[in-house]
Amino acid sequence: MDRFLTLVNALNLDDVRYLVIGVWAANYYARGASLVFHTKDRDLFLPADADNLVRCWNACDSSGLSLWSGDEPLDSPRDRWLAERVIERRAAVRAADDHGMEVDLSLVMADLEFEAVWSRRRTFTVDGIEISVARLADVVTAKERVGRYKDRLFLATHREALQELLDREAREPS
Amino acid sequence: MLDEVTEEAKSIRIEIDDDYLHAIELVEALPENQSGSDKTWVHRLVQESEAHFARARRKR
Repeated sequence: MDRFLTLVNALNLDDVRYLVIGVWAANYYARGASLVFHTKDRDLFLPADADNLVRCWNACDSSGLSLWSGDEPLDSPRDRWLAERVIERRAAVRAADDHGMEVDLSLVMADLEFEAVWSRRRTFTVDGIEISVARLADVVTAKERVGRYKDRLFLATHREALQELLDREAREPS
Repeated sequence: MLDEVTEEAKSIRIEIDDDYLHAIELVEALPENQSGSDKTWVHRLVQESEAHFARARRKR
């Protein structure tokens, strides 16, 4: 099982509410290899729920991922009190392993509300494991609103690839 | 030249216009993009790509 899938499986088993967002989420909607973006970055959107966050940290730990806040290991004990402080500050925590995988545990997705994005989610499976994924429209909307250089680059590439694909299919209906 | 490209890249603005939204709607409506769909191929593709580049060795 790949390392990200190991984490997703642990999140599911611990009943963690999460959504895959960002470029990796967009990959699940790809029609073919040309629309898959190769990145080691994974982004999870989490609700502002301290108990859920503690369960998420535990799942990361059981999956062999260490937790980081900036360049420092996340404080311990990783309990409800710490989760509430992290939520207050909407602080970003990153889960990482020794093989280069990094998963950003984000409490914000531009100005979108977790519950709204959650209600629109899709649930896909990979090797029989369910993965909660934000809708493509939400992923793209968040990228437009955040508007960092890498977001704009993604949008430019994604839009072009999507349009080419649809144009090709219109010319060559199966 | 690199500076010029960097400056140019900063000015990229992508609007989510009607065409882009329509394309997203079409993609989201595909049968393979409904809940319950199997996406194992996406993981396999990325794994194979990562393995390929991990094996790459500089020749010169």
